[in-house]
This record gives sequence, C-alpha cells and structure tokens, in this order.
Amino acid sequence: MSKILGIFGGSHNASASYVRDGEIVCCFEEERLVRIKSGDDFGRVPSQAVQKILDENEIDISDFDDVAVCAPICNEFVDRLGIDPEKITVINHHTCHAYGAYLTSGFKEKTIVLSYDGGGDTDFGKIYLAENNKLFQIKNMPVWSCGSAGQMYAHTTVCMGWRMLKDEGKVTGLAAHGEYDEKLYKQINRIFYYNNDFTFSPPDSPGKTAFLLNPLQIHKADLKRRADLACNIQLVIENELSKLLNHLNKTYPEYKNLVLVGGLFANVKLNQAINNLPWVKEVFVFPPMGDDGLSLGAALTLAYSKGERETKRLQNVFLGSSYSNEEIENSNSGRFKREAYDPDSLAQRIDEGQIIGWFQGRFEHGPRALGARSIIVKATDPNAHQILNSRLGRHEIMPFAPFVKHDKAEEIFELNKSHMTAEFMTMCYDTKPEWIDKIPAVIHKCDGTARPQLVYPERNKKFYDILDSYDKLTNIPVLLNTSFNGHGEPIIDSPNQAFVHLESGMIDALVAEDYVYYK
Amino acid sequence: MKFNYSFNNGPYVQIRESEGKSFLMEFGEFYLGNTSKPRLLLDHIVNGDSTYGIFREWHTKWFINLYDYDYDYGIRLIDQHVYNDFDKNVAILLESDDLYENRVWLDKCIEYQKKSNSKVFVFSKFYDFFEKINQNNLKICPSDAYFPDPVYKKAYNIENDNPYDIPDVSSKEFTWNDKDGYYATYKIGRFDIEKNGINKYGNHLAQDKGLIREHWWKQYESYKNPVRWENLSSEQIADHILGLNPLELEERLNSLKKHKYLNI
Repeated sequence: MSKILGIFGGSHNASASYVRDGEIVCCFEEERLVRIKSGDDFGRVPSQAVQKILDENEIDISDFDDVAVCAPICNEFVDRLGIDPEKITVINHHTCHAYGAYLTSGFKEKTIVLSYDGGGDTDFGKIYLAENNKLFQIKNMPVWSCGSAGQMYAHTTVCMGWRMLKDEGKVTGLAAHGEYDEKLYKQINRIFYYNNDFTFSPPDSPGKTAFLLNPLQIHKADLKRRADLACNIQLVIENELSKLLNHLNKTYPEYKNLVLVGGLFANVKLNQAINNLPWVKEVFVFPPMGDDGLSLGAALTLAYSKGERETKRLQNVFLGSSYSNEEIENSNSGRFKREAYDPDSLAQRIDEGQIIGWFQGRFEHGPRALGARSIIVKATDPNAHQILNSRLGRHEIMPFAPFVKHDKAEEIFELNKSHMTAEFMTMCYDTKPEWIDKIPAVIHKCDGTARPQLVYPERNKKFYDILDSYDKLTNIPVLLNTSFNGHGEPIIDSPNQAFVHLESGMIDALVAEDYVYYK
Repeated sequence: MKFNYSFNNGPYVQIRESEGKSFLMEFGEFYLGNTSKPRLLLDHIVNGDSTYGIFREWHTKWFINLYDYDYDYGIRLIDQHVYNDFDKNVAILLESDDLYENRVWLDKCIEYQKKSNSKVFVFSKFYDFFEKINQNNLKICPSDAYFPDPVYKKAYNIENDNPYDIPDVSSKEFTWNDKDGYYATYKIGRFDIEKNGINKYGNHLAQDKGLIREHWWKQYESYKNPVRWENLSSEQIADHILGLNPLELEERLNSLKKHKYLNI
C-alpha cells in the first residue's frame, strides 16, 4: 500500500492530487490557489497545489512512495520539488484521463471508455473496452493523422471572439438559439467527419476551422448568424460522435455502458445526445473531465497498476480545503452579523429573492460548483438570469443550472438513465412540459433543456436539506445553483474570498458552515 | 496562381499571382520516411503573393497541402507537394573546422546522393583537398560559395562569378522549384539549442503558445539537430540531419525520456 502524488502541469489546468492506499485523499487545482483562471494562465506548474497537499496532510515530499506525472513531465519542476527520480513514473495523457474516469465510475460490467479532447501527448483520444477492472485499449487517435472535435470547438470559440479553454460553454449555450443550415453544416462536416475506423478526419482541424470561419467574420456577425454557426458545429459534432459510438456498439454490442472523459465532454448537450442513443444503458462523465482531472487520473492509474485500486463509484468531488466555524469567524472579524443556520429560515430568504452564498466543507474538484462553493437563488424567477449576470458581473449565455431533490427529479426532468452522472451536473435532460414555466431561471428557453444536479441526503445532507425546506415552503424541489465566484475569477476557496463577495453586495447573505452572515 | 516549394533550411512555400486571396498551408511529414504514417505538424493561414516556411531544418519526407476558400463549398484542397529531390540540386554545407569530421560527413553526402539520386553540392572549408580525392559525382565547392538566395548573391556582387558550376539562380526570381536552383539545403554541424521557444530569428513559435503539437515538437532538441549532439559521433550527427538512419533517430528520441514510463 502506498502514498502517491499525482501531478499535471506545464500547459493549462495544472493540478496535484494525493491518493493513499488507492483512496483519493485530496486534489487541488492550481487556479484556485493562485486565483487566476487556468484559461488565462498557460504554462503553470502546480507548485502551490503540491505545497497545499504537503501542508494539509502534514507530510514531506519524501514521504510519497511514488509520484505519478501525467506527460509531459516538467523536469525543472520535479527537480525543484526534490523528488527522487526513481520514484517518478510518467503516464500518457489519455491513459490518465481514461483510467481516472473508469476507476471512479464503479462500472464493473462491460463498458466503453472514450477519452477525447483537443490533444494531449501525441493523441486526440483513446478508446478502451473495460470489464471487471480490466481495460483494453482498442484505438488511439494520433494528433498528426486524426481530426479533433475538441480543437474545432476551441477554435470556433476563438473565431467567435471569445477565449479558448475558457468560453467554450458560451458556444454550447448559443447553439440552442441557432438553426440548421445545410450549406454551413456541409462545410463544417467537410473539416470534421467520422472515418469508419474509430477515428475522425481530416487530420487536425484548428487551421481548417479558422480558415473556414475567418471569411465569415463571425466575431462581427449578428447574434443569429453566430448562433447558427454554433448550432451547426454542435450538430456536426453530435452526429459524428454518435456515428463513432454506434459503430463501437455494432462491433462490440455487449458493451452498453459508457465512460466519457476529456474536455470535449464538458459539452452537456453532446453528452445528452450520447445518453439518448437507444442502446446506451448508462453514461458516466468524469466530473473533472478536462485536464483538471489529469493529476487525479495519473495517481489513480499508478495505484491501479500497483493493484491498490479497483473501479469504485465516486461519492463526491469535495476534495479541496475546508474551514472550521472558528476560522470563518476569524475571517469575518466582526464585519457582518451572524446567526445560526436554519434551513427553514434560509428557504424563506431564498423565496424572498435573496442571492445566497453557500460555503460548506471541502471545495469541489472540477469545473462545477456542486454544493460546497455555490450561489443559490430561486429557480422560479424569470428575471433571475439577468439579475444574476448583473450582480455577479457575468455575461452568461448558458442558462444557470438547477439542483433538485433526487427523489423528485424524475417528476421534473426526462431522466430515465445516467442518474449518477447527473449528481455531478455533467448532462443535459429535457424538462417535462408542465415544469418549463415553473422554473424558468434554470431552463434553456430555446430547447427546454436543463443540466440538473441530483442531490442525495447521504452524500450532501445540508444541500439536500435546504432543497427539502424550500420544497415544503413552495412545493418546488428545485433551486438554482451557480458557482461562487465573480466574473473571470476561479471558484472561491477561502472564507475571506466569500466575505469579499458579501461585502461587495454580490450576494445578500452567506451561509458558511453553521452560520448565516449578512450585512 | 503559381506555387513554388523549396526545402532550403526548412520547408518553404511561395504563392504567386494570387493577390487578395487567402490560403491555408499545412506542413507535415511522412514519419521516418514511411508514407503510411503521415504526420501533420503545423498549419498557417497566409495571404497570396507571399512566402511562408518553418524552421525545422533536417531532412524528412515533407508534405505540404494548400487550400483555398470557396464561399459555397468551404475549404478546397488546391495543391499538394511531397518532398522528392530525385534529380534535383541539393546543397549540403559542412559546418565544421575539423578536417576529419568534414571527411566523415563527405562520405555521408555520398551516401545521401546514392540514396536520393539527387545532385548533391557539398560546401566545405576543405573543398580543395576533397576535390583531389573525389571519386564520386559530387560537386565540391568552397563553403563561402553557397548562396541560396539570389538577393544575397546580388548583394555579394558575384552574379557573373560561377567558378564551381554551382546552380546559378541570379538571373531568376524566387523560382525555387526550378531545377536550376537548390531544391533543398542541409547544414551538418553542432548547433546551439534554441531556448524558451525563441528560435534564432527571435520569433516565438506557434507550438510554444499552448497548441496541441507542442509536446511533440519539444521532444526535439533544436531546429537543426534533432537530438543533442554532445554524446553523438560525427557519423550519427550527419545521419540524423540527412535522415539516413531514421530508426536510430527514433531510438535517440526515446532515450531523451529521463524517467520511467508506465506502459499499461
């Protein structure tokens, strides 16, 4: 049994993770600690994340038995950390993605594992067949000879005038506002199509995407034209990915579970299209699906190779730092009033239209706020989108997401499978017609979809309790959950950062552990 | 439209008679000469009537794709070029002050000529010595007689000075794929490593801006020597630059990996 440090850095989304005896101890993304979004910060190594692991666990770097580094290795960084070179194992990018996702899925039956993104190491993706903790790689997609939906998506984001690795969600959100355009669809399809051999063509797409889109002057085009482009890109990707998966199903018909990982699967609409394939039994999207999950993937992969880890259902992603009531109160320093937290009183505040900062336990690993560092608002207010964007200083196109009591979710959403992945807000579902007008703040007004987070009391009791109190008060078991951060800022970590947002008026009240703080 | 290709110190494309148009260029290689393994390395959007190239200077079997944009169709492939120096002029510059090393590299030039069936011109400080012993169909010239570019040649005012019967490009424009010019140029030597993504021209290269191919590029040690030359023999250095022993190069590249890799 061993202590394994996982590291990924040098590109974007640097992070470090600690796995002990095959169990996940903690994970830290560098962006949370240096307070710069990784999409704005290329080339960083996880210096502070490693230090945080050492500090929080009161260990020394020499205490690790192994260091799993997701390639490429930053030689200078590992040398600086003073790691014994003999302890270092370098692991391929998509191997880390795929094993990290599979080993947290809990799927022991026949499963297809697809890792696919804008490129890592020498591949855009890898495909594995898995069963009973054994994975067999059946295909890789080399960067020099295959097409990449991730690259095409990233460069579409740039052509729209937004930031690569940061604003792709805006393209996804915009897609629902657009319409199918045969000419545009065919033009896009010529630079990204399925090959019938488990790969895509033509080789690579960034230059081709830019070359196709530049003449359209899409960044200057009106919203309708941009939306049409986003829509047709989305359709091409959904259709071509579906062709790959259907081909896999035809070739390996007994493999009906899917594990999806890689930055492309941050696209919740794509995930919905995949989940809707009739042969698919269950989908699991790794919650830190992008490169933010690579250090954890590296550590888990190495633990697996040492026989210390089998696939085990991920219970939650609360893997960051936590703060006690005393530490929180010290940060407050008497600036704000406080009262003991009571879910019924808070439900009342929410129903009155207050914006609540929610600060509980260890912060989440991955891009989604799932009830540790969240902002909560009632989902029934049709103006909530506008109000939140204004208060948080954001320019969201993507609708905000709901969190819902698991036992009421199927009453509201067409949610017949993949409940587990819905705990991590990585999948869109259609909303039942009778609910669309009841909770407009969390429903995409164009297509009636939502990306709900299912909340279970056994895994996040406080978050469930507030839903329950609000449900008793209003007969609505749904609230709006968005990440606790201002515009352009990573999700918050510490109570200090939470109090800054209370002070600035971004939120009306802050629930931090057992107390409610307000002006 | 007219497209000219040259491989003088890296692959270059010149697009002529196309003012006002844009083109997408893709540079790739058939890895280790294997035509079933095309590797796309870099792409770039350029305007017409311009020249563009990349700075990887050793021999490989390059391919270059050129696309234009049609409003109705989208992207169209309009030209392709695959490196082929058969019966073309290839300049090889021996950049060493050591006679022994020049001698070893001369043998490698002979080997290259036999393998490629190209017309090899060798430029060496020891040309006079080698000319006496030259038993092969090589042109051996003084090192300062190499002028790949007619502009340079004019600057040196030697338009009419061609004592070594080297390709005369002075009366032509940039017709690089003309058989009278050099199709390719290789420099054999021990070259400094360009650090921090800045090459000798002071340009930040695209692969250092977070693009996907960065890792692949960075497994090379410079843009002239594929791998660090400190522990290599003179023979190996020439083999790598002229692509004479690609399998050995692959082993060398793998050996750059300092740590153990998990094969799973």
